[in-house]
Amino acid sequence: MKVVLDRERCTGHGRCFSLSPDVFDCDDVGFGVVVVDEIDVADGADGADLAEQATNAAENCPESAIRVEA
Amino acid sequence: MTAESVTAPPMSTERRCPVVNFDVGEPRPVGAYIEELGRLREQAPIMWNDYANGFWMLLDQETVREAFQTPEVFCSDATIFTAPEPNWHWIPTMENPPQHTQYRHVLNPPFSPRAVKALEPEIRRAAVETISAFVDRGSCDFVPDFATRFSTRVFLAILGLPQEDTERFVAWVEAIFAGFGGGEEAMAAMAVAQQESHDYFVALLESRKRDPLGEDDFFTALLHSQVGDRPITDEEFVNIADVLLLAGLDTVKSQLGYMFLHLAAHPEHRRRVVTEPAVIPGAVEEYLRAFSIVMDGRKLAQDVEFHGCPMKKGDMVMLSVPSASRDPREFADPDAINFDRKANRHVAFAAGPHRCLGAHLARHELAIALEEWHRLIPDYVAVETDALRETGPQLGLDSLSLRWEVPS
Repeated sequence: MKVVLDRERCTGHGRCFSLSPDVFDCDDVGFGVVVVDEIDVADGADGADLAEQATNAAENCPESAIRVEA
Repeated sequence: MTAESVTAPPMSTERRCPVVNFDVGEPRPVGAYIEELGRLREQAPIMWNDYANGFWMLLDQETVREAFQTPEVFCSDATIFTAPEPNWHWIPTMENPPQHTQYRHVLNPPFSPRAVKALEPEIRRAAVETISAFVDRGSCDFVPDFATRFSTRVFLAILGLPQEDTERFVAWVEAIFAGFGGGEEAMAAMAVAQQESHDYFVALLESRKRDPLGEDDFFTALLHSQVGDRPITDEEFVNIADVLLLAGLDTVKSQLGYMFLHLAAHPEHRRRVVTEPAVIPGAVEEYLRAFSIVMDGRKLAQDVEFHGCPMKKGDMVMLSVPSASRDPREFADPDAINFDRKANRHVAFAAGPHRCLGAHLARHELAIALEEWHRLIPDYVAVETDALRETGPQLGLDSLSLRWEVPS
């Protein structure tokens, strides 16, 4: 799974790094930064958890700035 | 039930949408605005409202979000939808990109998640101090006693202003917001309060020039900031201070009112806040969604056909966030208050470049208010709720009487 954050669309709501702190972080001014951009969904419990975090962030971004691609 | 909600509103062939006459300022029973705007939304996503100067209303999540994200069409030259030609200018609220971006570049850092996190101890202190004034009384009027005072204390803390000025700011905020939509006397008092608070910030500017504090002092950093490639002006400094007062206080106060009205009446939700602190961030997010308070305004910068409607340059538009946030196309079971809601991409803090500067601060304030209040007062009821009224266009309660048992 690839995780992509479109910086042009990001306006710093902060939902991604609040909800999914293992996949996203925030920069100094509060815009999102992808920390894990490739997730091996088959990598046991950790992989499944990261995948869920990534999907959750995508579903909660008001700007639709986050894409997860299989 | 009002006439406009019983039958479907008439269609306008000119505007290619239904037409209503809906006074968005008048007092209504609490909850009536969301109910009525939701009823309209289910009839059409866009309507023309004949009230006052006349304006478009965007009612669902799709149109509201798109308008927020398209500032080159839906611009901020005017943001009060009943005032298309304002004789005031608010920075950064009424700026458009690219100038808007330059101002946000200055303002985003002191309101960033990291900056707000560092303020947490002071926010907690503000909550506890505010509650301690009435905790032993067994009763309060939540809005002035807690919501206004707590939000004012936090406002002063983040801006590096003295807590001793709390009562002065409370009085100004109350006078200013009673003036919006009030009669002549209320508007006169509002003008006085706006002048006095403005003068305070003018004096503050001079004080920081004479005796600058460190760069982690908000107004010192603002004084030394660059807007684009040139220094900020005195006018911009005071304008921004005036706007922060307008934007940052009444909103938090209003949001707290709706949250505690709901919690007072829902012991199961309250029990979870008391016993499961991990639920609080989700609860805050759900309250922001379900009780979105802002009806925002934009002005058409150009002619556009927007979802079939022929909008003309200069038309005003009302973005009905309260009904967008209850849109069943976006939110499953939208009228349910579900602290565990998984997908919650509400636009209570707007979207696009004008995304609320204070969103991170607001979230922290609301979460800490829930924590600290329920630690001290876990059980309470609201009384005389039939008399409660909300007024638009920014929804809010003026009063909320709460009662609880005090250990003897």
